[in-house]
Amino acid sequence: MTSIAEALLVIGWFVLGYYLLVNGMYLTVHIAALFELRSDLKRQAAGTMYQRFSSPFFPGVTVVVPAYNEEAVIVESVQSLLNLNYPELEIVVVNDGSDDETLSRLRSAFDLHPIDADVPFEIPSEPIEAVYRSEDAPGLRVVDKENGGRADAVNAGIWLAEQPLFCTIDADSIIDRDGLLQAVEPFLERPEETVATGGTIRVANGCTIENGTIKSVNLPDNRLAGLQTMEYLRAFYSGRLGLDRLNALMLISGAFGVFRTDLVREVGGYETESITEDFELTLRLHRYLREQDRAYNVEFVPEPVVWTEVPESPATFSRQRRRWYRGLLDTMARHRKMIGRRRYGSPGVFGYPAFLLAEVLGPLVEGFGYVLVPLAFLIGAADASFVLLYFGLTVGFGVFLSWFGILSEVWSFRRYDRPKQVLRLLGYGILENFGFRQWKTLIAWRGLYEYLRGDTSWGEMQRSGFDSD
Amino acid sequence: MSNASAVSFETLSLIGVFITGLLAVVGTSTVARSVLSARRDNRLADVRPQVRQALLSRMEATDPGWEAWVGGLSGTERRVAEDLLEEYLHRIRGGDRESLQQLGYALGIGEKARRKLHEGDHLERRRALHWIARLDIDVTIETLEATCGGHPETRAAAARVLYEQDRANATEEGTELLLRGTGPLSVLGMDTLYQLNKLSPDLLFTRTKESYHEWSESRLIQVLRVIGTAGPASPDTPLDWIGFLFVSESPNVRVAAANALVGYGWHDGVRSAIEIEQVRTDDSPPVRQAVYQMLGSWDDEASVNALRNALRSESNTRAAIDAISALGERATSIPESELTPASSAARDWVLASTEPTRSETEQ
Amino acid sequence: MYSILIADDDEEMRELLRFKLQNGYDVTAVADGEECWRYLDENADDLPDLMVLDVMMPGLSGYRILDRMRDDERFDDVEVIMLTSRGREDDIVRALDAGATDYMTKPFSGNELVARIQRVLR
Repeated sequence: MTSIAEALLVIGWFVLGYYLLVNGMYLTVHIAALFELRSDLKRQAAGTMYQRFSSPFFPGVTVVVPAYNEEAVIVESVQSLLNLNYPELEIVVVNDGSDDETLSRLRSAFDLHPIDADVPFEIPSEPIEAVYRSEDAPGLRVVDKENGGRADAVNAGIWLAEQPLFCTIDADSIIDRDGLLQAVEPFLERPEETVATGGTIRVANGCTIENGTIKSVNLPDNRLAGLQTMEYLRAFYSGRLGLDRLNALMLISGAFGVFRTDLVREVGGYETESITEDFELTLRLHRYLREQDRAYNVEFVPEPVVWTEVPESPATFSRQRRRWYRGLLDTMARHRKMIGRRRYGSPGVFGYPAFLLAEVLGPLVEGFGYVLVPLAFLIGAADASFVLLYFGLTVGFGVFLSWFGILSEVWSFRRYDRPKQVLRLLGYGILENFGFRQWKTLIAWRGLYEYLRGDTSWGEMQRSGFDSD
Repeated sequence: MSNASAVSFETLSLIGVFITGLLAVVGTSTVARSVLSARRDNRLADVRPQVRQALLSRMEATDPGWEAWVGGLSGTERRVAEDLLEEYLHRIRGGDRESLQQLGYALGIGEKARRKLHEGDHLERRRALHWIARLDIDVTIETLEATCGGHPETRAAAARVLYEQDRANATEEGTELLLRGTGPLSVLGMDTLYQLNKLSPDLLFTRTKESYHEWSESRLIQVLRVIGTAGPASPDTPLDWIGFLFVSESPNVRVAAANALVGYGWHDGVRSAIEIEQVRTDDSPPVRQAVYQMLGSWDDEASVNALRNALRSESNTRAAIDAISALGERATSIPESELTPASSAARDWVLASTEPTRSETEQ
Repeated sequence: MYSILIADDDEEMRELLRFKLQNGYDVTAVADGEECWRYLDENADDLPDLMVLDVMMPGLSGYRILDRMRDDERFDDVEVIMLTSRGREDDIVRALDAGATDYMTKPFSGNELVARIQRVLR
């Protein structure tokens, strides 16, 4: 064999090895997750011994809803938030300079009246036009401001929040009616230490939604959405939950997270320059608290809490994932000081490197392999047996992890409780490895390219509104 | 052309068989589990209505005959009965509750709870305590101490049991359990501490005075918060020491101290311990906020004057907002010249936010 | 026989209430605010004599239903007992201000509820 061919083969083995390493990590994390789950379920079984709704110590929550051109869903969304099962709640909707009917629909639906004075304190966001109160719903306020992006809008909401905790939710996501109660659990167990909690996200496409609550859980009809459902399940077990157990929890996803209001103000709120603000904020909180040597707790709530609409068209999906990848690169670069440093505890020693290897480099290496291996075969550097081994192992391991995720789901939460749904999910687990994951690696490479080129665009998802009866 | 086979046929087939086997195991377990669970759910749902009817009828009867009934239940029906019991105990109080508690005994839950109290890990013991409270099971304080005294979470749950069962010395014993150690409490702990002491925080004041320098800052803040939420102390309770909390290095403690003394303007000990001018000019804005709220609740001439003086020099708007709110109606009549820009903006904001809205329709 | 409408999104609560009241009254139960309002609207000429109304329901909350009822004279004669988990002073005041006849907190006593209803529906 020529030396080029040899080199190609060696690289091919390396790529295979890397893939096995990364997925081996996922598997380990997944198993750790199952132990965590067991003790979480036990904790839940222990029950609450006091009446949460009448306890004066149950923490109040401000729900901050950034809204940009959400006329199709905003009223429904706010209505369902007002009906959340939670004792002490206020809603702050931030209209981020929409040029559609968002604000006017809110004004008429909730009988809003503007507060006839300027906001007296400094808010680190684009200028605020007016703050409205609602005649109908005392817990609702609406902030109208100039456009500044999601992070900017959320910051405005955070600075006006009056409750000790806040959470952010996108207008196109639905919080489970009891979701907030569950997401707040860690704040009840360790009220002084807990600074942030994250909630599990599930896919809303296909589910029957009535009155802003999930009436029944169904798989989406759209195949792309179905694949993502499978993916969210797997990512949950192989990612978030296990990392939480290992105290390395890096990401509190933007779709749902509950934070201490005063602490987030202390660190300056969300970073408007970042593309995935939530991830960046979480890392910043980790660093800030570790640098101050403050004991703290960031925790993940395993029960499904938030349901979100996922892209059903390839173009929208690609845009979203590229944005996520660029955001990942951007945030990792910002906080590269954390890597391997014991100063930053488990997130620094374990979380950051793991993320780097698995989430940043993983898709790139895998994508590289999809090009390399067939190429090597074509020029004779690798023979059929290697190709067979390569694809056999990668697909096999991939399907295994996906199916393992479904098995874990069936043993625990069973949101997909009909056997037919489970069979479909298993099918998606296979299908995922024939096209979907390969496409995602291509998206990662595109994302990298865009990042290096300095692209910071946000992209948008076309809202189709919620199903209603 | 290469003739070197990277991987031998045997190895490939071995790997292939291994992967296929693994997938087969995972796949069939998943499907099997899903099918079995769905079937079980259907069975449970099928029997639920009639078990519910039977349960509710017996609950109301003077002689429910729970033992006989439970004896005749199938496994599925029994599970449903346990679930319904849990649901109803959560929602009902009064005479029906006692009847349901009897059902709990008949189902053997009481026995199981006692056992788990001795044998389980701390989460299982918490669950056991949950049932002991719900079913009003008699467990001696010694047993509680022996089984639950070692872990803060089980101590809190044990204290709750004392409260829920309305025992003779619940307040003293429960408070002792909760305040053991130095770490912070959970919300269950705080709520229980409150429920045990809500009529009078005198015991809490005494314990705080004794132990506050040993407690962690979080614990101190929590206890102060419970004190603030509870009813008033008696006039003779010595509170002069409370001045020390206002000079604590930690602003959080100073805030908590001010919050705790809301409504204590009448207490001589408090008034002599606190130098109003000193506390209202604290460096930290959150502390000033809390002090203004406190002064607002005291509502006497000295406090009102202090608030007005504060507005003359306050530069932090959030604090000014609290001072304005604390003054209530009086804030409207303060001349502009006596307000800093921050205070003035704060006043505009507070008044605009609280004026009754006109019910005109927007065009 | 007097008729009672129960509105609560909690299934077990509905079953409990229904069981407690079905012996002495003609009971109907609805599961959320929208359904409740629809029922009232459709049965305007044969209204329930009393409603047991939960405060926190998805869709239309108990308070909003009360407000609507107060603005509509068709519903002037319907007695309302509000049911809620919170039981704080401002909740009680709000409910009574909005026109509720009485107020009960959860966890509730079945016998107490029946006694209160009997007092109202004499």
